[in-house]
Amino acid sequence: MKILVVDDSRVMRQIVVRTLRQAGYGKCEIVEAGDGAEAIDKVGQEQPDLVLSDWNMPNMSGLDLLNRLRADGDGRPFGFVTSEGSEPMRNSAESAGANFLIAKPFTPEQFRDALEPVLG
Amino acid sequence: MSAMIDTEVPAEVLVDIVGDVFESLLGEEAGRPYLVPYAEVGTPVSSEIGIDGGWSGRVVLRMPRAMAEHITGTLFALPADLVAESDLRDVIGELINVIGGNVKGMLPGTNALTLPSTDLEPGAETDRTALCLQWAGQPIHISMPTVPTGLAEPTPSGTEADTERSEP
Repeated sequence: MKILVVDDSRVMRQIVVRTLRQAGYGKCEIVEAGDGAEAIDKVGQEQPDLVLSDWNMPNMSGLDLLNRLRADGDGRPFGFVTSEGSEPMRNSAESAGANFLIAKPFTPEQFRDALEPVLG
Repeated sequence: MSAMIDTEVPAEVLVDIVGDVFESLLGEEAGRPYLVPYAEVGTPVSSEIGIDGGWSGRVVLRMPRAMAEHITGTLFALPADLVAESDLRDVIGELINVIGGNVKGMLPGTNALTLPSTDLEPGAETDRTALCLQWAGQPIHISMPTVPTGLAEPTPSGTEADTERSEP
């Protein structure tokens, strides 16, 4: 099982990886990208089972990343991990084809609840 | 206490947001910042994020550099004196990014969030409306100055208020 963590903040990628471990996904292989554009390359190279992406990033936002993947026919599981958890954001995420949205700050329990239906 | 002026987010809610972010990043044992009377932040660093739309302004965080270095060291598991400036910018930028995102969700209308910007040598404090919180015995300022639409953009990279954040 491979998870791609996309965030322009190095510390936040580290915190997401730590939280994945705490949520019981410590055995997953983790790959990282610093923005949406880098994530496009990593998806092609690494073929992750799940993409966990920030929304607000330079170069290519998380929403643009998701739109690009879906436009290319890539339906792999995709979840946002973002500081904006309002209903309009959740609706936008769902409309674009995201499986879930986890709002920062988050807990390992929230990760487990969001990832379990997707990864089992 | 209602120290904030001219904003849609009550002081208590803003304090809660900052508390949740600190607790989530640093653990319950680190304690939550709490509201105290205004005090100057010595040798500060700052980060800010713009919000533009139904409410247009900035959310600004100032804290002592030593506190920012301590937090950064804790998060990267490094001694505070070995913290790189790029990591310091990354951490204070992400702090305001999470705080700003939470604030944005409480504001009226449709709003857009800019990317965060950071400043490791900000000028003297001019915003006396800032909320003053205390954490680890030191003051932290959080403020929400309003600005005209279109001005809530991050300062271009390479200037004093640098948008650069650490990359892998």
